Amino acid sequence: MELIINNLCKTYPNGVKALDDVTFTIPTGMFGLLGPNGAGKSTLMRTIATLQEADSGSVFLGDLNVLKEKQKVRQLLGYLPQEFGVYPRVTAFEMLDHIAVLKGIVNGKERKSLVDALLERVNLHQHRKKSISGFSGGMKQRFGIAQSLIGNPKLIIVDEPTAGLDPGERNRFYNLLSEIGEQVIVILSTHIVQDVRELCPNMAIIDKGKLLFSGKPEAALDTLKGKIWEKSISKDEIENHNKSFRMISSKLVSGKPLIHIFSETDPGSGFKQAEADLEDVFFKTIHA
Amino acid sequence: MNFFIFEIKYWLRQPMVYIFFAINALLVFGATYSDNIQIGGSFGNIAKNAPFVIQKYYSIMSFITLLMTTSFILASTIRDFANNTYQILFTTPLKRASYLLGRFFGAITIAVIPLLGVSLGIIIGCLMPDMDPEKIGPIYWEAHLAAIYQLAIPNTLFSGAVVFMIAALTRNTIAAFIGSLILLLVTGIAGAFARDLNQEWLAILMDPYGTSTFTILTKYWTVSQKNNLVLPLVSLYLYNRLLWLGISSILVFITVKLFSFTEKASSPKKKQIIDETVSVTTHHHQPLPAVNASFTASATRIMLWKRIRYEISGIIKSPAFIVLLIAGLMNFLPSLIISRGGYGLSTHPVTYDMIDTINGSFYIFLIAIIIIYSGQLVWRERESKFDEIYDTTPHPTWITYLSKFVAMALVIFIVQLVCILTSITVQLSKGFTDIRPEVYIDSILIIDFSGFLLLVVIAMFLHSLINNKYLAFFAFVIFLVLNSLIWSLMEVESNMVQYGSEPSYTYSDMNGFGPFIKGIFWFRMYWALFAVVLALISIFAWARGKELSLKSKLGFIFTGIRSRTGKLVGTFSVLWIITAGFVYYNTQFLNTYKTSDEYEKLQVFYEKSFKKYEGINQPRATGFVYNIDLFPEERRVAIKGSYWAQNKGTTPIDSVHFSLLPDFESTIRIRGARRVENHRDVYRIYKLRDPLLPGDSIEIEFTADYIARGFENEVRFTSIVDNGSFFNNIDFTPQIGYQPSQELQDRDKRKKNGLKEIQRMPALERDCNAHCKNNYLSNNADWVNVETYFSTSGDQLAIAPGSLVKEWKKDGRNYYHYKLDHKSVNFYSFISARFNVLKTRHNGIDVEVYYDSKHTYNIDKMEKSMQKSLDYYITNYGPYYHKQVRIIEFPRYASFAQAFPGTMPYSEGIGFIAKIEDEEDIDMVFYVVAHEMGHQYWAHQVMSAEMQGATMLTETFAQYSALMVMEKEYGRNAMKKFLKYEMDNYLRARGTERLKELPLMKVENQGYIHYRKGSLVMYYLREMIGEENVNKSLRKIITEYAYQEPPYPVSHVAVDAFRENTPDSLKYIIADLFETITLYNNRTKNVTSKELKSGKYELTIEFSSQKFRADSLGKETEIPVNDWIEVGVFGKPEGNKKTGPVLYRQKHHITRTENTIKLLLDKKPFEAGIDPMNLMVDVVSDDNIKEVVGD
Repeated sequence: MELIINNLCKTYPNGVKALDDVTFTIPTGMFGLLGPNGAGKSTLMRTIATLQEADSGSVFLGDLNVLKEKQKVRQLLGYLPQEFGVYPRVTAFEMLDHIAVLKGIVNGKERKSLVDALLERVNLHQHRKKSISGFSGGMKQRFGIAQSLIGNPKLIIVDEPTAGLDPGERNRFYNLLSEIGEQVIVILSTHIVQDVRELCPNMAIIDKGKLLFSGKPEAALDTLKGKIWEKSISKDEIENHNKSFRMISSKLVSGKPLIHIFSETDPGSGFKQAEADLEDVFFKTIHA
Repeated sequence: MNFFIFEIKYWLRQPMVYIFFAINALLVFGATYSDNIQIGGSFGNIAKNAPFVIQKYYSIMSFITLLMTTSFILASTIRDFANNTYQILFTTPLKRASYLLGRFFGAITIAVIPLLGVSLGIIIGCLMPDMDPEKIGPIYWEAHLAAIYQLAIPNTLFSGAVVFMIAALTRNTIAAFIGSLILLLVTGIAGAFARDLNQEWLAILMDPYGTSTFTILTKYWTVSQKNNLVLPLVSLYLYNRLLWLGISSILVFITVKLFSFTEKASSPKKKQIIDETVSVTTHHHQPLPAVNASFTASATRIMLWKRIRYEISGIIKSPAFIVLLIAGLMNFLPSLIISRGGYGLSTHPVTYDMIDTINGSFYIFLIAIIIIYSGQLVWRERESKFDEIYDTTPHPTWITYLSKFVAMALVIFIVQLVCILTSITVQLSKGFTDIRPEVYIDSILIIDFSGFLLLVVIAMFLHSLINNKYLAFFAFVIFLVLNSLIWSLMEVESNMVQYGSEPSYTYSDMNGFGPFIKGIFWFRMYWALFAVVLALISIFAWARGKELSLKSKLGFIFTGIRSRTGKLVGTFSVLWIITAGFVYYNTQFLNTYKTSDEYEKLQVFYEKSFKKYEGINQPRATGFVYNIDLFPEERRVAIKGSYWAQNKGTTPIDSVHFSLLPDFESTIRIRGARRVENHRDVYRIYKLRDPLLPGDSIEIEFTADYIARGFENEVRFTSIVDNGSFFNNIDFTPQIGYQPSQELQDRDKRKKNGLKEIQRMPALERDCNAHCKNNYLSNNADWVNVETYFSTSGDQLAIAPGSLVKEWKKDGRNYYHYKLDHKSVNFYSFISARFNVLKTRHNGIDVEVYYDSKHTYNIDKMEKSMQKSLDYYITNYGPYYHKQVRIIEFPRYASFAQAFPGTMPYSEGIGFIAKIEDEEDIDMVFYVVAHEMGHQYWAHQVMSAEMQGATMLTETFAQYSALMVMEKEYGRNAMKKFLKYEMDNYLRARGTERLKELPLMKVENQGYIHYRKGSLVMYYLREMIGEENVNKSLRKIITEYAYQEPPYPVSHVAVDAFRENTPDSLKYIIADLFETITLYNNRTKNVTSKELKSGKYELTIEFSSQKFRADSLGKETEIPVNDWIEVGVFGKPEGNKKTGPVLYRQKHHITRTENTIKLLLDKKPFEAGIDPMNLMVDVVSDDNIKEVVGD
């Protein structure tokens, strides 16, 4: 099954163009949707998750018209929103149980064994009787994944799941995501390149509502092969270099800026060729 | 200081302070300008801008504005937390006290500003051009000023301090608002305690807002005092203000001490972050167990049920709910336990009283719960940020709506059950076992419950349509206010427009929900169907997902209506319209009703068109025969009547005029006469073939029918009902001549309609003839004979005036023939119900109580009171001419007892459920019966002319009669207690007189004069000239005037008789008691005693005595004392008695203000004083006796 997005447009009442004629296809497996904050990722995620209407365009999940047959889509959907909360004074078990009911799992026995298994899988079983409001960020996100897995979803959407997690928590979270079967579509929206690099065989990059790239990360990397150059400079040189070169990124390494530039040929002036990574792809794409 | 100024500047830039100011100004302006808007009740005859009014408004408004103050203080206190600026602010080194106090006092200063709207409202109100200039006094700036520093500022400080404490410590908006809500209620309870006289000082001190304090301290203020005096800040008033200022300061101090700058250190629920110690292994997991997602009907049912349980636990576990419930019960329990009637009495805790209490003191909390939680539930997912997950699960949307609605319904139901169980517990704990679960169920769990559901629907509708929680809350509250006000302001009175309304109803133990049921059912149905449509629209507009603008919601509604479920909207709309048609047909075609405006117009028409006929010579009725066929189960009565009327005047009569009343359909037939005029069925004129010559009589026949058809918008006529029909002859008999009683009475409405000011009573005349042709009950009959044939259903007993001549059964119905034994006043009642009868024969007279089988509590007392009354009255006044006395219970649609010849209908709501247990209680039942029995002489033997002083001859003497019978039965001490209530009542009531207070002999049917002052006057007269002299005078009046044809006697007759029987030395009291308004201020200052060697005691009493005359507005002028006043000395009370044995009691001739009296006593004195029994009208009555100081 594929998720096919065609000419999707959405403009908010305040004039912001959140989606501008977006067209691409998401195959089964893990798909990374990369974009900086405010790129329109969440709008796209919510539109697919039946939470928002589009102005024009279409989204199809297999034969299913996502924008029209919302109720059917919801039966196939697992969704982990960017930010979520739960009812106060409710334990992890109760909450999962409740969501399972909402997803139509009304047989009490089945539901209990499912919830137990889910809690086991996300390693929250020992905390099942604790109130979710007391969970740490990573635990909460794992709870989020658990709830999205209820009801054999064919389409799982996780929106910015790793924001705010410390590296250990993030790793645990990656493990969890990677275990989700390969037969379902998992859309991972994120602004963190590492997320995509670790998990996704396919990806897309959007910015300011526009689709900038869609395909396999290797393909993207190929386009940059041999064209990324790096150099360690002093802080007051940044402006200078920014004018003279197509600078992609600058990050501090031991307190000194390390800049990446894009150049078809050797730019000289002390630049060394660098191995292109996804981050370069990302910055190159959105700065294009 | 910086913070203080910052705060003030901040608020002055916000609109809130100006809006609140405008609201207050507008409210007070309304109350000043229009009589329809009242704040703290009507003020009667005092100026609209009197100092009293100013202070009163400030005291009430500073209490009402509590929520405004809360808004300011709350916002100021937690602003930095809400905006997260505290992290920046608190890292700077600043003094917590200056930060907090600056904020606090800044906000307080601002919060006082809206209250100043009170002054503006009053001043502008009085500037309006069409204000009655008589109702405006000069501007009393000092009153405004006093109100601001005595009330506005300290009250705002107090409210502020409480809210400040809660807000600073919890940093929670809801907690602060609930805190202020509880404050409102606790204050209300303190006010309730003030009702009992003996706890007055407590109430004075306990009221944090000084409202009760102000009310109590000014309760005896006369009109003139209210117009001219500002209550100064002295004594108890001062202590109250100081006390609460002190408490406010302590609260602020504690708050500042406790408040910590670290982030929410004193948070009640500490967040416990779970430590994760387990490292996650990456072994491969088992596949998840296979499950089936199902969306069949049975699956959705399970889903719904699970959701409902979730929503309910969400409500009942939330602290706000628990707090509201407890606060509600706290407010409710005291009123439940103390159910009070008049004279400090309690009643039996009958179920309908419990229900009234639930209604009066708990429902406000339930409505608060509905307001808060119908909103809270709708926003629950969004508030907890669970909405995105929730909305993407494949549940049907209606489940969300329905589960929230049902959860709300169940919570309401549970809360109501708690109320009922509490009530039943209270009933049982009082030893009352006649509990009526069905009444609880019908009125609370069906009628009230369904009404609350209608509120929930509209609340959820607004919350689902408006995408801002606070705006939606606001919209709902505005809706509630508008819905209850706007229709009556627009003079639309149909229950079809006021959302959720139904005909008002009264439950009666005798008649159940009787005539009201049908209307309530159909109106509920009508609104319920409407609510279903609203609910469906709410589901369509339900916020699922992120498209929340009103525009997209309207789109959803539109799509929803066109969808398959949209057909339901159509179906229910059609059902609703059909029901609407049915309701409309019943309330507007089968029954017509007049709005009060239309009714007013009709009254104006009546007066303007026919006033010219008032007083023309008309025949007067002399004897009636009635044939009454009552069908209680159909609420139908058919009456045929005929009567003879005689031309008692001096000129021939060529046409007979009739005034008709709206409730009955009537026909009139006079042989040989023809109807010449008929005006809108309010006035008819019949022309006689031959003029009726003086002394001649004609026979008039009439029919009067009442049939209840369908149901009405409001049940208008509760006199004909299934069980307990009670109507009198005036209700249905077409009345000969113009009837001033049908005129518009309200003074302001008369003015508006260009009618002359009504004269309450014609001026008193001494030797009155022409003006005394009519008694005050009737202008078209004198003493009449009455014969009645009365049939009713087979299980009921029907009673008409007089002796039962014959009774029989026919076709399963009961027939009765009654006949008066002696001609009587033309005012009598007809009653039919399923009665039990208590019957004894006392000195040849049948003494009967007709009662409902449930109300047996006091029937023996009633019987006894009738017997004792008969004994006293026959001995002291003269013969009783009827062969029976009857007390007859009627449903509590009215709550009075009334005396008709030989018959005294008595409402089930008063004497029948009164509870007299304590020996010290005043026996209200006994008293009321004795009073009504007194009317058998004073009204039904001696009837007074329609003139000032008329009710002195009837009500005052009935009151005297009752006092005498009561004193014989219960002794002098009981009388003291009774008279204390009478005195209190009289002194209070004269301050709210609408026109003018008059001396007793000129009383214009003013209850506080002819009853309350009447008791005091007659008892004092008795004390001074002796019972035999009073009764001799009364006997003389009876001998001369009983059953006499006109002219009727006036009050001079009585005053002359009293004067004649008063020794010369005391003649002054006649003027004091009857001819003027005279008041005293007797005060005992010092009582010292010395034990002499002889074993006797020398007692010195210092006291002052002042005497005043008051004018009709209560302006008092001191006059010299020259009175015989009693001095009394008492020994130490034994056991738990309140007063000790009388050691000395003697009248002294007092001629000076300051006096000292020395007495020699045999026994050790304990208390002594002047006028110790409080028999004189004394403006300060609790300082007459003092305890003895001595060795």
